[in-house]
Amino acid sequence: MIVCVAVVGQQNNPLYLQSFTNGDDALKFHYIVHCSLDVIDEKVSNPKKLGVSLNETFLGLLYPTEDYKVFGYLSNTKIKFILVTTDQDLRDADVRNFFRRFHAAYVDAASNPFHVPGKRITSPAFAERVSSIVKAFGAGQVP
Amino acid sequence: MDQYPEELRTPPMPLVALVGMPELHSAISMSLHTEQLPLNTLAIPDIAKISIIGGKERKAVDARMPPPVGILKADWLAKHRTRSPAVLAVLLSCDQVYGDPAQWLQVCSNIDIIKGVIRGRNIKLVIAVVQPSLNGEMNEDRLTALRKRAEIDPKNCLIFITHDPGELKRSLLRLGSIMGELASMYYRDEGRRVKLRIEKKTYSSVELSVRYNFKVAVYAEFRRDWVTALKFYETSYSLLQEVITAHMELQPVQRIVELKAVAEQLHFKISTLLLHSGKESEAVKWFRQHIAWYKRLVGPPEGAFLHWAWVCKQFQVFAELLDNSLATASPVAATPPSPGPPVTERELQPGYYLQVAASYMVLRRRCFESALATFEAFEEEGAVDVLAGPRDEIGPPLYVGQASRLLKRGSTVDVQSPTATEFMRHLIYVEKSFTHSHAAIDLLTRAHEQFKKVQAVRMIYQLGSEMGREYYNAREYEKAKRLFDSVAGMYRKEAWVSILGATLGYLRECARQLGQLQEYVEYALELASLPIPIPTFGPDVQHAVVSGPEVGPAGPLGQSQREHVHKEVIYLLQGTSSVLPAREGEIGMSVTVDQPIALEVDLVSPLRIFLSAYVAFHDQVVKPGVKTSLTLSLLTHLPLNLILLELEVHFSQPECSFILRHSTDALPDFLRAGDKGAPSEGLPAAVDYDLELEPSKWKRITVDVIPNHSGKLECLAVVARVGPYATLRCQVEGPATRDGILLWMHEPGLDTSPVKDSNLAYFGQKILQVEEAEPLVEVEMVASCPAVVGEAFPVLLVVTSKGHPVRGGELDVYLGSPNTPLAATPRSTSPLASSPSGGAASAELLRAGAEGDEEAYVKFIGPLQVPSLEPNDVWETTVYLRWCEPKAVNLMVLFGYQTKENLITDAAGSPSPRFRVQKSMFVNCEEALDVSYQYVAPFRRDALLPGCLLSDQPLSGSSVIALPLDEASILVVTVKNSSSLSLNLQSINVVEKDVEACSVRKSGTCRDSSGVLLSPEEVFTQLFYVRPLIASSALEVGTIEIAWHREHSSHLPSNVPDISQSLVNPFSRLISLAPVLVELPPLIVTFECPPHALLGVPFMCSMNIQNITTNLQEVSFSVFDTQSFIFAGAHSDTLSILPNATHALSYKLVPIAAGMQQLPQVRFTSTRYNAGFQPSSLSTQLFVYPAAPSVDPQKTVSGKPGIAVAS
Repeated sequence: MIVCVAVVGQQNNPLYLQSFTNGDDALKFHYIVHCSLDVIDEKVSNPKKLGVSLNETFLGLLYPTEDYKVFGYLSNTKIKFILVTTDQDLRDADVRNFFRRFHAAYVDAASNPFHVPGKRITSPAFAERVSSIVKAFGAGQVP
Repeated sequence: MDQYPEELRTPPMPLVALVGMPELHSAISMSLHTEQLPLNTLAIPDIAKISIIGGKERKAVDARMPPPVGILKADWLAKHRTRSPAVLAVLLSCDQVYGDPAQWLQVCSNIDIIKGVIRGRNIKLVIAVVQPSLNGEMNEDRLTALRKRAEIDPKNCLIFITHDPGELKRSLLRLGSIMGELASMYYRDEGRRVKLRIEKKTYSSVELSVRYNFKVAVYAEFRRDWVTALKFYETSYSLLQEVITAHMELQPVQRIVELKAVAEQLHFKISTLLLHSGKESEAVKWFRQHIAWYKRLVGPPEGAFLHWAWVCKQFQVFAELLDNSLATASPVAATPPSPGPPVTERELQPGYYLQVAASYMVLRRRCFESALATFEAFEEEGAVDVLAGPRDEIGPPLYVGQASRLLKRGSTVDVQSPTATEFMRHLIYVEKSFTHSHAAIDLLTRAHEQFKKVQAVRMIYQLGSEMGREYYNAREYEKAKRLFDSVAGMYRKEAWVSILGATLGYLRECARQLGQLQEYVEYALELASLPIPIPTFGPDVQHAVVSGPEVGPAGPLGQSQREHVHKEVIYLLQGTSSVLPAREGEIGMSVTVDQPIALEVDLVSPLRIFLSAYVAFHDQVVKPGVKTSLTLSLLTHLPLNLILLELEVHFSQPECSFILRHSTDALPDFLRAGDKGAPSEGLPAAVDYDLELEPSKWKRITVDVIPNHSGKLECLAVVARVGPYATLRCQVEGPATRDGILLWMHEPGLDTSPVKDSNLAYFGQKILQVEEAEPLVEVEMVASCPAVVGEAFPVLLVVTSKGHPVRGGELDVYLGSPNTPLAATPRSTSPLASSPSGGAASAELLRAGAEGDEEAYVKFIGPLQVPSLEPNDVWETTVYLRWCEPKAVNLMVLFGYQTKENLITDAAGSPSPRFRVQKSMFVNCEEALDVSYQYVAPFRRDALLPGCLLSDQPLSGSSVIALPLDEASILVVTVKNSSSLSLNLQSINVVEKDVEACSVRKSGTCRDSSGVLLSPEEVFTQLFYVRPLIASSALEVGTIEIAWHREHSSHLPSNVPDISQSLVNPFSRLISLAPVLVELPPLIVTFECPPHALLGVPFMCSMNIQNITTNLQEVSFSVFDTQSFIFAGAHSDTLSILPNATHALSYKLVPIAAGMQQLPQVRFTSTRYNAGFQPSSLSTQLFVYPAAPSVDPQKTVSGKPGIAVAS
């Protein structure tokens, strides 16, 4: 199950962070997502060692925490997409697919003429779309 | 890891025992320990103590046996490592073996005892007969008997030589290899035995399977057969999972603790073996499964803390194992990929496990806190922790993971074990003394060190937060605050608002606990101003908050929390409430007269989020005293409105600072009624401003500022008064340099500029240039132009104060060419005296000489000092200009002054400003007199001057004037007034250079001293008679001296200095006469003729040729006839004139035409000098009357002597 998704800006500032748990533990995901930026930095600065090809946007599993796994995706404009999930066994293809759709949703939101790039995304339409992507992922309906 | 017993931590070593000959034990032990397969040695000095290696009788396993009370015996491993040897070596002295029968019998009985002890335990026996040397006594029979008695192979019975070092070494090696071999055999046999038991499956409990597999694995480890060991440990581990049934919650705590302890031990062994073989990934995966399986086994809630303590320990131990393994690991060969999710870099970091361990430590603390609360609620009065009783009453646990036994209660395990309540009570008491926070901090610190190595900055900050939280829980607020302070910076920088909010919540609480009011207020204000993101999606968007166990004492982050914090801190600042006391019985902090709050917000302060101020002057440059507008923009990000009681605005010129006051009517009652706090330095105040700031909305106030001093006026800061004793000094910025508040920059919404005017927004400055003040002094230059060359032209300079007192005034006077710009300073324009070019060089500046010496004018350079003047005073001075050539110049003055004495500085410490006035005047100059002169010979008397004739030749130049020696010549001096002024010509004189050489006489009578008035363009002529007395080729005749002055003109304005009055003496103009050639003339021709003639009336005229020389002169002459006259006489001839004689040529002429007529001209030529001359045609003209005039010509002739020849 996806418990949290996040979009992080170029200056490593959070643009969008939504958790999908029922419990009162949203802040934990802020910490998890923030720490995952370390791994992204590591991967970006040292792509060869970590086996990430240069043009690959999908960064794979960033790191596991005790209860979650954190996946990352880096757009060409250095926007980071983060996925926190409880699933222990995930197929890379599924995660890639998720990120592709997530990225597309972000691109649409950022293309909104009223959205200023670099600012927090508050569009309800984006939130709804992300939520539906997350739900679809949980239900295994990966198109 | 140190908590584990030694036997578990280190790989086991085979144990052998030595008995007899204790003096050899140490040497043998040493040798065995350094074997290739090291052996531990149990040295039994005396045969009597052999029983310690014996164990209980082994019983056959039976399926009917009840399940064992425990899984792994607690001391089994220790026993096999320290007490239960694999091989027993009996050392017998050769004296005993080969000795007398009594000794031999003793040996035999000893062997029997030993056999009895090792019977049933399969311990291998080695007999070594110790003798000093090979050459000693040997008794084969005895040896054979000994072997038989001991029932050992011959190879296990050896001779041990002690005294020969080489032989000793050999013996030791032999003993070592035999014992190593036997030990290995022993452990293999034991392993097989247990394995057989497993295979036969003669028992029913799984626990025994676990135990047996464990044993096989340990035996394999003794043999260093790691692969087998690992296999059996793994089997044992997985069998253990079968023991754990589904309903673990229903199991008693002790049981669960035991199971997990066994699992822990097995897992530890597995991890160690995996890591030692360099399979880190395997180990990580195994650990993952281990945790995933056992994490669920929380057990009963009252024992939850035990569970988390156990999980924490797993992580911690694994981190340590991993750390050790990474420290010693050789480069790992690429391990083949194994099934399951891949292992990430992070999972190979010990720091990761330490961090997780710390989080479980926290969980352990929480669970313990709740368990303790429950325990204390239901605890019976006077209950005793029986397990903490006297040492002799408490026995160690029999099985791994079980509780200690209460020996007093009986002899069986069942009765010895404590009840569940007793067990829990004991554990809670033990746990009570455990400092969870410190343990957690210790783990986090270690994790921090690990992550430092990989430079995971954010992780380090997160660990910092976690450590801060632990310190907070441990009530070490000082340390917690320091940590939170350091991490807050990172979150501010990257704008992770939620995390920052949580951190600030902790900081605020730490400040409260430490009684730091100022910090408390700062943190609270920042916390209230944070843009806590409101979730845009979810069932309850309006009331959504960011929550979690990490949010800290400020509560879940959200809009309502911000408002709550805002109200709390603003009421505190306004003095209407106080902070809750940190401890009971104390008074909470409050803002009072004794404890005022003065916050400082500089340009980098995080508090700019609470209040930021921008100012923009509407003008960039103004004059002092001129009103200009200043727009002051304030912005707060507090969630609710904020009322400022006052707003002081401070400038670099303190007298410009002022206060704006909120209108009292709009103030809430409690603020209006209250005392206003400290008065603000008596600054001018403007009341009735609206100083209520709305959240995230610019409050723009435009005020007028009048700068008084020239220079820079900078708005430095605003001081906002929030409550009677709470002020906030906020440094201001210009809107152009604004970079926004980072935390709010990422917030959606339009970023409005501090000022509405876009021009001001881009170019508005917080600095205003104040120009120099308009000088209130007038400088006038008065002169009556034009000037004339040669005179000292006076210019009156008048300094009039029009309101400024003048102190230290300096008047700089200088000349420039007419095209010199006004702005040129005297320093840049070189003084005219030294200026080689330009109009300035033609004139010089003079001042009147000292008192009493009025004739002299002195040159001067540099400024004139002006005395102090009071307002409306006038000071004047005159300077003079003298030209040497007619050229226009620009006279410039620069007057600089101060209004105060130089030494006095104003309050700000800057010297009083210097005012400057600059003026210039264009002065034209004209030449006064145009003087010319010429020499004229006397009327109709010409001298032949050979030098003069020579001068006619083209090569000799035309300027030579020749005068006859000792003959009077006439010097005509013509003076023309070439200026546009009337001049008074006082006198014209010729001053002879040398009276002996030349005498000059002025013609005409002496005039009166008033002189001659010369109007412009008027000409005046003066004649002089010059008689050279010596012959000279260049005779200096003298100098013409013309004295003149300006004529006073009455039509000039009254303030113009009257130059003619001011001039006491006329100016003289001197003109040197050019040198003349003086010669003795050889011949003088005098022409005599009547003054006029009548038409048709004959008259006589004659030419007298006088020979002045002592030689005979031949003169030829020829006459050029004219049409107006008929004449009679020689036409041409050559005459000889005697020395000092005169020859006269006479002609009779009859005029035939009337009017001015040219007489016939005679040309003479001196043969001697080959020089001819002819009287000028002008002098040979004659007026011919047509008829006799009515005037008496005789009369006229008698009045003739106007022209007299100086003789």
